[in-house]
Amino acid sequence: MKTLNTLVVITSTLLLITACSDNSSVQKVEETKIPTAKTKVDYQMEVDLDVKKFRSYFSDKFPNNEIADFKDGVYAIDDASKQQWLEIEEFPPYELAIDEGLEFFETPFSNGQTYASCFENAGQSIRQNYPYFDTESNQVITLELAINQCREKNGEAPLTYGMGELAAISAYMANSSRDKVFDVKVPNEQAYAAYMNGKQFFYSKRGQLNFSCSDCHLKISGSHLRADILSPAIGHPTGMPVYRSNWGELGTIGHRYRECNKNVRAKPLPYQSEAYRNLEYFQTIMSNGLAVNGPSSRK
Amino acid sequence: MKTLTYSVMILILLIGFSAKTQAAQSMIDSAETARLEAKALGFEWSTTTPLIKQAIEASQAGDKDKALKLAQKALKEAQNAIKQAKYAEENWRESEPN
Repeated sequence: MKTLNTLVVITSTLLLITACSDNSSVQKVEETKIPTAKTKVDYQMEVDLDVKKFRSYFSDKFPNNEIADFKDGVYAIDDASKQQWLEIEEFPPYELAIDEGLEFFETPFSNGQTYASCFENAGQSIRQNYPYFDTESNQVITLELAINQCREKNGEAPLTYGMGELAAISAYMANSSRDKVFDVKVPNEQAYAAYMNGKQFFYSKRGQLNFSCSDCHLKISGSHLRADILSPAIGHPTGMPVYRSNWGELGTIGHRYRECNKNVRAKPLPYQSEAYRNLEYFQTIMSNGLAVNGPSSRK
Repeated sequence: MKTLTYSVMILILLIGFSAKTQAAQSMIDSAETARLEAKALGFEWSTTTPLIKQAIEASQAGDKDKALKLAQKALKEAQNAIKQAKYAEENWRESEPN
């Protein structure tokens, strides 16, 4: 009988220990579930840390500049070039494109609607919110993509990306947003994946010349490449679309990406490809806090 | 006897030409396959397609030696682009500012 009692006691103790152990497992599982909300915050925190490092890099490299100055691109770091640029800006070469953009923007589609019907605030003062991550379609939406989506929604054929009418409409919309400050967010895990994809593109060497975006526009920014000075990557998107003297007309940031890829002998990707949109997303986030000053002109 | 000798010589030449044709075509095919792999990785070089086109043109013009050389060069480029993509995948973070 005594042996039986001992057995009962041992069995009960074992059952109790097992129950406690099971309970702690449940708690552990619950603990790993709870941080879902915390993880969402962490994505933005990771991004904010990147922005901080990115800014510090350029502040250290160009100590005479305030962060806000970088919206002027290469002209923020070279006084002689800046003086020439300011003279050009007295009669801006992109001015005509803004007027054309306004006309295109206000011309009704076949169904009587206009671009204003597709955008928040009728398309005025919104450039600083682009590109954004659309949580419904799970992709980065650039301003140029949104313009063409608007056309398609209204039964119109999409415009050719890069230059021409689309760039002019983008220029008009950017002009209406001057001095607004970029504040592009990373709202969820999918957005963070897109951001990381753009970031990886920025730091990856490519092409026969084996250069990354960061090689020219971060590591050796400010150096001369023949007669040109390499612009700092911070502030790249603020002045878009841009009138470049070697193009002789206005072009979008996608056009510039393709040109940069060609320069390092990499096969350029299609306009508005996912990789380029993600790259623009990353670059714009790195320029958060800077003011819109597009359209702009560059050598 | 003379006829037989000529026939054998022509046969040898034809076999040689056919082997060169096959080698050039095989190299062009390999280069194109590697180029497509580099493209899928997003790391295709802009210089590779023109080399393959030149190799095809040389082959069609009957210059099999030139075709082979150009295709070999294109294959090497495409293979390097693939290596570049793999290297970038593993090491891109090294370029980030600290």
